[in-house]
Amino acid sequence: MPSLYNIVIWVGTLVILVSFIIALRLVRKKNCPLYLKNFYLYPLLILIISVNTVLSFSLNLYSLSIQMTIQNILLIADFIFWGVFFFRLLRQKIKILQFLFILCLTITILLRFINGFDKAGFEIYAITNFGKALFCLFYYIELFKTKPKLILKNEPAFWIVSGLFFYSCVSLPFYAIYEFIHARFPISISKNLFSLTNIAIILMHILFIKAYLCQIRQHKAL
Amino acid sequence: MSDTSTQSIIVFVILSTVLILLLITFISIIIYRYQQKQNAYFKDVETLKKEHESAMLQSQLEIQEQTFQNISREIHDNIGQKLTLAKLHLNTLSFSNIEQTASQVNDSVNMISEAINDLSDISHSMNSENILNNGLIKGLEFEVAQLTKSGLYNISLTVTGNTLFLDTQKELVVFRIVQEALNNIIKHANASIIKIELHYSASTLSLKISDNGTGFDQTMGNGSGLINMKKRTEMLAGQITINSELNAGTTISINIPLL
Repeated sequence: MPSLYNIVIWVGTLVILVSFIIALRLVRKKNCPLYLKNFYLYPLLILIISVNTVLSFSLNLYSLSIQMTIQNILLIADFIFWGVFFFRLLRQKIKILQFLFILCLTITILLRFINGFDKAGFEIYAITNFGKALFCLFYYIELFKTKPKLILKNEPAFWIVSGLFFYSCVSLPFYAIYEFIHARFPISISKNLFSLTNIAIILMHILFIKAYLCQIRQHKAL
Repeated sequence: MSDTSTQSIIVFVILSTVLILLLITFISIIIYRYQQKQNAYFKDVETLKKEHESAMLQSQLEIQEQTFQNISREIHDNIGQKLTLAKLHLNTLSFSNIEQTASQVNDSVNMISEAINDLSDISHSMNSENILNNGLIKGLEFEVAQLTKSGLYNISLTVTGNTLFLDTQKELVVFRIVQEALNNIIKHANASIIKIELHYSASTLSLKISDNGTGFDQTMGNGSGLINMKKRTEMLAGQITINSELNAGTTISINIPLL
């Protein structure tokens, strides 16, 4: 019988695949906001990370060091993706945003060079998720500071940022204390705890799907 | 399945449910707070809109009242006097002196003709059909022609930019502003040169009316004519600037947004 950890990974991969397919529909949509137009790249990135994990962990097709190298590079790409996303989305405090982005990116890359690209790098998750959570806070601040003319339920950016913020906040403590959990608790417990972060990823992608559907419905209504 | 595994799944399910509930609560709170802010914002906008409409209505009523007063004064001071004088002449006709009688009748006829002309002028200047049918520029050209005919003023009208027909009500209000300005010049400025400049740009209609008259002291406050012009400009969401100095003429600049 497959473990809970593996079931969550498989379900997660399926949800991300659906998210990727729906996101692809937005590429050719006219009047689609720029931040959403190329959004399919994100589920694609996560899909590759997920497939990379499945191929290495579940199917043992290649070594852990190769899997880690690919994963670390993709995680840096993931952070760059979100940086670009928020630069396109936000209109205020761009300078602070740029500074935070460069700071988090530099720390992440430096730590990878120090610890090695082929090693598990949970601090990457912690730092990049912290950065992403801050970006999301900037979005919420801007949302409440500008004239409230939007209908949030139909606003793709709101659903995307909410999904990302939720995932970042939930997963941040797990990644931050990974070494502690790994050292003190049996592997089954740490695996189950990390399954929760995968649940957060699934929820995040469900919100992304909601965001794409807002945009698609708006176009159909037009 | 072992007890540990079952417990682990139960804990996982509980924690997952907590996560989902947290997410739903978080999103609900954000949407609720935003909607609260949105409701307050729309309420403010609605209040401002109502206040603006009320102010506009008040302005329109004041302008209308002022217009009625002007007509009343014009009839009483000018036409009324001429007709009274004509009546006096006709009442005192003495048929014993034919030459004097003929002269009195001629004077009366002239006065009645002048009164008819004055009435016609008032009627024409009050009638908005000319503007509605022919547009602002034709209306202004007519006003300029009327003043030129009097021989008292060297008056010019310059139109630049890509001319376009505005909303007829808007054109009428602009026309009334120019009329008010010209009336002020005729009544108070003692000017000999009047310039009207109209410039159409992509987003603004600029209007400039200047004269070489006596000017006035701006610190002494504005008369009803200037107040009317200001109110009319506000009705069009425009901006008005008045520059005047004693014995150095007056320039009135108005910018009206077209978009």
